[in-house]
Amino acid sequence: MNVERLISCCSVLILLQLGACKKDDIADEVSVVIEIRHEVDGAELAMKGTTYINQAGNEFDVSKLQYYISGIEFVGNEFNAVFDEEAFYVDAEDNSTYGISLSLSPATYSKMKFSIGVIPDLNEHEAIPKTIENTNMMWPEPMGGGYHFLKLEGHYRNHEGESDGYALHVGNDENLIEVELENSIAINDESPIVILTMDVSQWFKNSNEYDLNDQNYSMGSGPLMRQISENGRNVFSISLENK
Amino acid sequence: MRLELTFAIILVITGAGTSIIGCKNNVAEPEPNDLPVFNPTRVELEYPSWFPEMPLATTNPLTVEGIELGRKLYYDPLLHPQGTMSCSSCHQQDQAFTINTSGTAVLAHVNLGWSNTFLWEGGVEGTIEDIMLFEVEEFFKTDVSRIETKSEYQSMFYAAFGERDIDEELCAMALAQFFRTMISSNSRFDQYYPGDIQPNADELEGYYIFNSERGDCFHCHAPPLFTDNEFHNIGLDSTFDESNSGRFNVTGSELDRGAFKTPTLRNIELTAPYMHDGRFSTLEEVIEHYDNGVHSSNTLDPILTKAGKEEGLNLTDGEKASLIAFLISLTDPTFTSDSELSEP
Repeated sequence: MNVERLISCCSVLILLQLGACKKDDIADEVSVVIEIRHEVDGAELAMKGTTYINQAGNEFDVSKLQYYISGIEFVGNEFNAVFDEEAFYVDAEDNSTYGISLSLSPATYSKMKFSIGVIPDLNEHEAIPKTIENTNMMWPEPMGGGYHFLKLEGHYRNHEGESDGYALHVGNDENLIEVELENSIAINDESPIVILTMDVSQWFKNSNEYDLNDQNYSMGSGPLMRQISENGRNVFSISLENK
Repeated sequence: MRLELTFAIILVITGAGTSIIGCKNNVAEPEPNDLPVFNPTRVELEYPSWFPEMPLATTNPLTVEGIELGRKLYYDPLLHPQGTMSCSSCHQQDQAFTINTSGTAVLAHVNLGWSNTFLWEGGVEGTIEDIMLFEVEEFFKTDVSRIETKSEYQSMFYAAFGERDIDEELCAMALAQFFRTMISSNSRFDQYYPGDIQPNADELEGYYIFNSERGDCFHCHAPPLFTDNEFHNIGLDSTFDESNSGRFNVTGSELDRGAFKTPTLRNIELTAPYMHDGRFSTLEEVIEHYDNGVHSSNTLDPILTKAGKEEGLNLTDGEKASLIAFLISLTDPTFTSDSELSEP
């Protein structure tokens, strides 16, 4: 064996070794980043302390906003890109949960669909990663099992002008919140960032006005969770930003 | 030609070596003659599959030697500058690693490997290594030189970390390793939840009360850890000063007044007194608080303000007894008698 050939073989061996430590590139797919933002009537959501007025006139604040996004689907003319094997946990107090990275085929998609909550195939204990956050989102088995789709909590001024608490919790498959957002989204090597903005005020008004004086706690109430679920269809808007 | 061939052979050997090293974590260091070989044995923790995955520190992998060292330090008064107390002085195994005392209640050392907030007010946040460093540097104010002079510790630190210079950080790392092994996961609940045994009628009723809106305990005491690691004002008081402001003392946020860390309920039967100030001596008193003793305030946790339950849970005597039966089923005798957690 001549020296050059030996060096070549050695180099190939090293490259093979290095290659074995990397995830294989998925051919023909490009990455897209989804960024989640939270607002109240156009202003960035400020947790704990800042008060807002909802449609029913309740002065309220937000101390907890945790939810899932799952079943993401980009709808195209020729095919859809579907992501139904993961549920993405979002905590408005933790900006490390604001980003979702996906790989999908280049195309121009006309619509984005997803669910707020955990799609039925994943909505059972241990079907999603066993993180501490997911454990805290479990929906008790005696109440149907699975996970909380949404926890929205805080305080408000009640009829007597006193501080009272509210907790809008949603769970159970029948209350999955399905969202459809139309926008032309060109996915290619220079894909824009897809911005999903939640307007928290929408939970209280569109299409059901939600007066916290009448109903400050939803868990265990099918009718209230359905109202919140219906409103949830309208809480997100979509926009695109160049990288 | 011979030189070139030699170079090529070295390159092959180096390349292969690089490949092997690239897939290993441990890099052997030369050992001094008077210390044992540094070749720690890795440990995989065991706990039920339905527990969340315990966060581990890549910079502090669990080893037999590290855990053994942490356990020795846990029971050694040498951590204290005057040698008058160890961790175990206030965290006794037969009481699920707490102690029945008056004044501020001592939080139990149970499943803290899953925690990311520590102490009643959350004065320390982060990893188990962070709270252990706090304990060594700020709580005990350990004089490490007293540890360094002990030949047994020199050997143990070297065996665990390959280090001859002992410092506070290494002490914290060893303690953290031991804490990660302090896992309670073999109570009656842990046996009947997966169906290995049948719960009795009271335990079953209590389980349903706990995990439904009837008792609504699960939101903060989320199974299977029975804590959410968060902070809540559960209505113990309606006015606040420094002594009962809790989380506010750390964050300065008015909305945190009266909020304290949710303690785990595992082994709760053994960890009286209850609440941050130990105001309740029995589980019956605790249940009575939630049943009819919650005080309103601006920061009362929203979970406790459910319409229709302003006056409390209004449980029947039978329901209260069942709830307590369920809580007692969280007692784990194997944890309180585990020889691997006992004083070495």
